[in-house]
Amino acid sequence: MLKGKYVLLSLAAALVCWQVAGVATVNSGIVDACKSDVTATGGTVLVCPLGDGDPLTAALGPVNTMITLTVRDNTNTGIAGIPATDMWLVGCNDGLLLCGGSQGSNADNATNGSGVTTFSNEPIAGGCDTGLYAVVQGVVIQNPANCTPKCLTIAARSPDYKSAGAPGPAPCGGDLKCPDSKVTNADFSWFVTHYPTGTNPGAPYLACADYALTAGAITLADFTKFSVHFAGAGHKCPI
Amino acid sequence: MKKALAGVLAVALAGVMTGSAMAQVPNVQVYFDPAFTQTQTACGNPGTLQDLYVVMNNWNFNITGEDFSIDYPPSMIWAYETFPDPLTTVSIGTSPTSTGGIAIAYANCCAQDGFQAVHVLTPTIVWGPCDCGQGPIPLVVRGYTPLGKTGPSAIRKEDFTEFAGVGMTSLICPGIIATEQSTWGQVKALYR
Repeated sequence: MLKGKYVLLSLAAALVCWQVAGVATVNSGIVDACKSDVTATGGTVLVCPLGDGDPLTAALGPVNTMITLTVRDNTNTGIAGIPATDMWLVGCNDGLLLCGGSQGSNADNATNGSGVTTFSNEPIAGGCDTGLYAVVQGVVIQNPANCTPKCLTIAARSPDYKSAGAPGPAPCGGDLKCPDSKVTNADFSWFVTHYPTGTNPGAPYLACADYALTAGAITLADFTKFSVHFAGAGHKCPI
Repeated sequence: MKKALAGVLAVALAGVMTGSAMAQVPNVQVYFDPAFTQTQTACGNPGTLQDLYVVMNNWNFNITGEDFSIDYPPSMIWAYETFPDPLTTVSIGTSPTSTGGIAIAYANCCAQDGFQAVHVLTPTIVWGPCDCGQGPIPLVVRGYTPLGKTGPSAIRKEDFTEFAGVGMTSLICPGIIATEQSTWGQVKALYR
């Protein structure tokens, strides 16, 4: 009887060892951020807390910066059926304030049979950032070559750069960034500090205020693009 | 005599064609009346206020912003300016060239229809000393100088592309055109 138990335990142990040894070849269905990948052409988009910025498919230039994300598990197998709400974009330097949290930048669809999905729309956000990370189920997708976070060179710039104060975050001075999900006089007065005028002809260039990419200068095109989101009732996050 | 007549007609025709072509060029002009018909005026009484009407003509696209400056002569002292729809308009600067000029932009709802004359600004001036005996006094539209422009420019709504236009000249004391009484017979006699 006792001998039979030993045999049974030995068989169970052997089974565990066999499974552990073969773990690299078994589909886990768990996202492997280092084996997944995300790609896109670099570019620049205007993002707005109202969601009417430049789509990634029509970035400045115009350039198509649509993002393609392939989600894989530890065996390099694409994971199908990950919900769109489980995948989103954030600023590489934490410079974007997403409207409504991660739902402000969800993927277009759930992953397909090959684990692939896309992002066609710009993040619904305020702030400014030089690049975008793709996040799947809370994990930043890495560069498969070196397993470090992969920052896509898609700059996102919003006319919402400053806070008007309570009930939003505290206002901040100079070019410090403190978006509050609405485009207000605080943002306009900040923008004007970078717009050449008769009293400030040498207004310093700041990329975050360059919404139209006109030769590295802040121009009338930038002002008009800013004003589309500010004049009248300033745009704000509807959530 | 016929050759001379033909020459005169050719010059006249060329003048008409030039005027017609100029009229199609995107431009910014100051008018002295709200119907946008008067680009010339006599001197006003010193100390009185007068509204001017800055109008964009022939841009032929939806305008989401523009910039320009106005070279006011010494006889016109700029006082202030207003927008036709201040609730949907934002601006940077003021119109006098001496201040650099003004940039105007519109809310997303309210781009201007550049396929027709667009009234964009109403400067109010105070008349200063003004003497028509000194000849015509120009009131010239120029560019937004902080960005190095010499003429007005505007932005097309659809793609935020910038286009340059022509700054027009309006006149104070346009001068008197000499006339004399005559008859058809005397006019015809000139060409016989």
